[in-house]
Amino acid sequence: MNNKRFFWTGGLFLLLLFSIILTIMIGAVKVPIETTVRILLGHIPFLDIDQNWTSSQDSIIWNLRLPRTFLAILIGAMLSLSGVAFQGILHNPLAEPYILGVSSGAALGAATTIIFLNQNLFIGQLTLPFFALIGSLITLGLVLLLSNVKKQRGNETLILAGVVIQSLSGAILTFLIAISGEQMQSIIFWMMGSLANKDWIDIFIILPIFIIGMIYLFTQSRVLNVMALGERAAIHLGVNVARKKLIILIVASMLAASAVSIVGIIGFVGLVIPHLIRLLIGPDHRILLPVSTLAGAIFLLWTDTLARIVIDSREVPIGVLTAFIGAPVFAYFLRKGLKEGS
Amino acid sequence: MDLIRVNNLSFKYGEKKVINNISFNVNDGESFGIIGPNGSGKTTLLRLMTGLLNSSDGEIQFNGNPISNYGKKELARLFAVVEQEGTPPLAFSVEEVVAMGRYPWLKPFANLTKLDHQIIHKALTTFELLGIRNQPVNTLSGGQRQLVSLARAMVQQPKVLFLDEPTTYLDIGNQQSLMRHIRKWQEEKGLTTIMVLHDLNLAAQYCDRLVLLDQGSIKAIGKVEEVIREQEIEKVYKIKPILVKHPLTKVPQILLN
Repeated sequence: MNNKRFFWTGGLFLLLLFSIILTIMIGAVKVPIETTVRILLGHIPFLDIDQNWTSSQDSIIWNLRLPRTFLAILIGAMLSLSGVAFQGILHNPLAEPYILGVSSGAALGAATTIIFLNQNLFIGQLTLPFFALIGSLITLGLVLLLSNVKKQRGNETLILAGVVIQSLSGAILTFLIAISGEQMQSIIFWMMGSLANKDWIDIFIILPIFIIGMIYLFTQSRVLNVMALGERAAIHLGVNVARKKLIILIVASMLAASAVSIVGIIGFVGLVIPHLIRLLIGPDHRILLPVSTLAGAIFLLWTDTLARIVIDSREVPIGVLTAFIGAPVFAYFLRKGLKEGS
Repeated sequence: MDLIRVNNLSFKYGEKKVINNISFNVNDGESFGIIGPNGSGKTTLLRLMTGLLNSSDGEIQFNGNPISNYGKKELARLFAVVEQEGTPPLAFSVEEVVAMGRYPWLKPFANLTKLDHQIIHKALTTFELLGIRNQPVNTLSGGQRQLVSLARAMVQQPKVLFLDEPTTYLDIGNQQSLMRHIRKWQEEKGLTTIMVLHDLNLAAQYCDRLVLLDQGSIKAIGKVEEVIREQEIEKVYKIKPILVKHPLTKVPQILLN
């Protein structure tokens, strides 16, 4: 187990570092690999690097591409990590980070802000993410309330409560879009998800949420393994299932909600990457959680790079690409897995 | 000496009374069977005794203390439960699933110790799973998966083993092998077993004492010969059975008319 974990996490970590350098070089303005590395090293304090690059190169790498790179890594990691937790708890093949309605709530919060509020109200560019987060937390709260039957939450009840609240907020959202007039485009673009035009502040906001969520979920890998035996079996092994389930669902939803609030709805990562990694390395959460986190980060980093270079001087919505790449890859492994009878 | 005491226990699902004011004891080291027709409350009683369900009406004691006083992990070190379905068809290997039985004994974040591995190895040997320990559970037959559940329960090192119709999905070969494995474990460790059984002949063959439930009440309790009797069976199951003596073990066996 330990060798396997070392091999996979170590390998993917190196691949991630390599991907960071490569994707930062790629773009409308080409920056040679040597210059890219020198610019990055030049920003590390106390390292004495001769400055032989232009200030516009510095600005492109340090202020535009690097924050975007880190954001892609964080969002990919958060969605994938959240997806593993949801699938581990709900034992449903369709379980994914948005299944309890956080994305529909965030969309509702975002649309309300775009239509009715000044988008720079009191906290500037963070107003929209703030209200999107409020929206997703409200839907999450409603789903948890609705699914609570005598302090127990059955998996089917949770999923159906998610469906109910999503339908309701979907209806309100459609109504808002219908009456929105010229803001319609902004709402639709928000819903398609994008990592463009973000800066370091967005990263500093979600980084602590990611770190706390990741550490907590990593400590729960043994619980998630035992839960695979079924909830009754887990109770008989001494797990406080009702409480663990609630906390893990809330932590996983918080990861998804904060990701969605910053970048909009990016689908497929949190569904496909966890399934894919499970097919490749097996069900043990002690390996599955870290490997999926890294794989989600690498996957979103590359899809976002494609999103900004596929069409000249125009962005392709990243959600289009995650599905476009994720679906065939997943279909391939699904068929392969089915043939091998696993 | 009685290890478990059930005192004036009642339980309702909504308005429907499923367990109706029952009391009995289970002795240390015995093999205790719970029998009765469908819907008589057998599984509910087992779930109350294992702490999966709670009732405010009546009390269940282990070693003189109410089971609600025990912590969840503490209880998991005393009671192990094997359910009807056995281990679900997971992609985990046999050894990984059996090792999960150590969960209640592990300190947070600690890895399995040498002792843990010895306990796991012993259980794999006892249930003849050593040869397939690296196979994923989803490649095994129902009978093998039930043995995996038993091995996992053994690794829990419980004082009491609860079984809920463990033989339901097994053919007679696997039924006999399962029951013999349990008996062997019981003789080695002085284990107490409490099992819900549908098959009255199996219950007569492998239990020391039985309780016969009907509509949530006790209709008979005692040694096998005191419970498996024509008039009791007729009253509860609404059939006219033919009772014969098992030629080897001399316990009563039922033939259908």
